[in-house]
Amino acid sequence: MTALLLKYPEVEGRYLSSWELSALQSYVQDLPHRLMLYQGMVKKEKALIDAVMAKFQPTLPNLTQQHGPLAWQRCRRDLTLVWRYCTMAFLLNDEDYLRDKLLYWLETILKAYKMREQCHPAYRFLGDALVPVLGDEAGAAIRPYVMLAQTMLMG
Amino acid sequence: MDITWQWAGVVAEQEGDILEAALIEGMMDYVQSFAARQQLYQKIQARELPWIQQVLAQHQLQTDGELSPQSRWAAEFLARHVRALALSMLVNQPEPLLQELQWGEIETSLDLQALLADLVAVMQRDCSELEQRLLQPFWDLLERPAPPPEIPETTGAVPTLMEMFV
Repeated sequence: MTALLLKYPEVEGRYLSSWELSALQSYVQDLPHRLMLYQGMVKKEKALIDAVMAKFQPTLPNLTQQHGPLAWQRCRRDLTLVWRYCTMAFLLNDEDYLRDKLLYWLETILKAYKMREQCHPAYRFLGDALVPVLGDEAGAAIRPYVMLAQTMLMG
Repeated sequence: MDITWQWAGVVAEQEGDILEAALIEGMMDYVQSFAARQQLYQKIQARELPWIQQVLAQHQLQTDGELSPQSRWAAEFLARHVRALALSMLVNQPEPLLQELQWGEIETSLDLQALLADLVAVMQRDCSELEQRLLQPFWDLLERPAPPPEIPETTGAVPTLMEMFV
């Protein structure tokens, strides 16, 4: 639970319960380690996205014909965006952040453009690349957020 | 140690971006100040009642026995502000009062600005230098009167101040 997750309107006018306070304390104590992992994830962002794109591009040889010359650029941008929201949600220990800030919106866009099927493998490749690129600890730490994105965006 | 750094709000604004080194440093500063914040939060919780009693007494409002609606209203008004201040300090981001409640007639007979100013003075007298530094960015939350709590119809026993803050 983070400060963001205190959901201020719910705690307005009262003191935090001992459970809420101890959850906040535990999050703050864990924050330096979380920050260290976050910084490692940021450093390896390019290597991770490169690894995903290298596997993903051969699966859609006609993408630029279907969606224009910038299709792969947009695909990379969207993947990077999802990845960054995942890392931020991890840092905040807040899956709602990922859902509310990005996934509901992106899910609607993918549905509207009928892109869910096509994007399907990209998020699977992203999940597969976590441990090989980031290592065991960081890969396991970010996995729940990537899985959430995968589940929501792939339907 | 930059204790004025408000990390959670800043982090939330970095949507789709990467945190800059300065922000990460600010988060580490927050971590370092957290024990002091938590201790102060608990002190505020423990001292809330005596602080409010002092302020009420300064305004010739009842502090014991069955409270008049005016005293009860003033006590709740002050408590809401103390709690907003305490939470803001703990999470290091301003958490202003959000609930918009009906303004009744009682508060018109009270000087809200003076109640809050006296509350600040009472709290500041009771806080160490470090505690005051932690609270410093948030005192302005107590500068504007917030909408007061609604006074429910009095039915049955009227609570004492002690009962209200247990």
